[in-house]
Amino acid sequence: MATPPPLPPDAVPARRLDTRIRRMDGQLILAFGETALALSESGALLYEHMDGRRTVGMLAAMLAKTYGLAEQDALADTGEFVDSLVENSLAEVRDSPT
Amino acid sequence: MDPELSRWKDHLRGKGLLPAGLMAAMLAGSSARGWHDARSDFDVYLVTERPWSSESARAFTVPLEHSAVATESFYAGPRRWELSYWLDAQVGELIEKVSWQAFRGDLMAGDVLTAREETFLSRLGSVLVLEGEDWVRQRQSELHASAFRSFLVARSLGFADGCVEDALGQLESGSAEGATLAARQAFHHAVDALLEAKGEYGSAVQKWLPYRFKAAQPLHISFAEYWAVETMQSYDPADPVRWINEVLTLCQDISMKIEV
Repeated sequence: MATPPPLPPDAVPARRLDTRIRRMDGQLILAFGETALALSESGALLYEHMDGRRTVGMLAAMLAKTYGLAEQDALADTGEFVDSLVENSLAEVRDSPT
Repeated sequence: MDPELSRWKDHLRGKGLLPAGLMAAMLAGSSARGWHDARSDFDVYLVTERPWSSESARAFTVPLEHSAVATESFYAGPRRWELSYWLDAQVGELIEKVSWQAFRGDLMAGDVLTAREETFLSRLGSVLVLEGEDWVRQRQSELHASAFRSFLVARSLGFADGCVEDALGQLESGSAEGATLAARQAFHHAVDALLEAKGEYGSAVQKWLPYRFKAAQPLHISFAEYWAVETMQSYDPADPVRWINEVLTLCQDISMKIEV
């Protein structure tokens, strides 16, 4: 299967409102239907800030600053994270902010 | 003891309603919290080792080893007093029902406790003690250590999820009115979860929600923000979808902040 192209920095990820969210033992857990995903600390940080207004680029910059990552690495990690959420119906990507 | 509490205790003793072997007597509910008004009842919980009986006593049933909780009621002037006589063993059973083992067994709060049982436990943390300070503090400590809080938080978040789904379904079918009402309900349940996470229980009686909110002082949303949504201040009938989405997003934000 072909690897999907990386998300452009101006793409706007947003949480899906029908995602069920729980915080248990300090960890954020997302669920949709039968799918459940426990987020890492960095994943939770990204998810909490995916408000439908921040772009992938903005989220990556926040990640880079928080964890001392190189810009390109943060962008790649953010894109990969958002892709995994979209794949599991836990997020959507918009062309522009709401 | 506060003179007024002492007066109330003497009043109950004078009416022959304090049993021998009384382990604890507590003023509970709105009057214990100073939230009462001129029409409020006075609710008193009494705890004994042996069941209470009298000619005037009635009872309600509970799914416990000893299945009856005796009650007495009377009017003092315009005020109605409602006394419930719980056995110490019954209280022990209630706390055992909300153990961590029970919580991990994936039971819902509504499957574990009846409404009256939940009300008793919900009020236990905010009673005014008329008698039996040591007993009350011990049971409060046991309740605090139990999974009671988690049971209620999980239930409220589950209810909120259901209402969010209802709202989204109503939007998809074109009913903004239905979606608006469902979004309001989702918000109430989310706020209940937020308050329950801080030990402020009592979701069954909605009129206390603003009082509970002010008592809990949650970090993640101010009273002004809560009240703005409660009173739908930014709701535009010409664009209801905006308000609905904002409220559902707020419900999600709340869910992210609460530890179950």
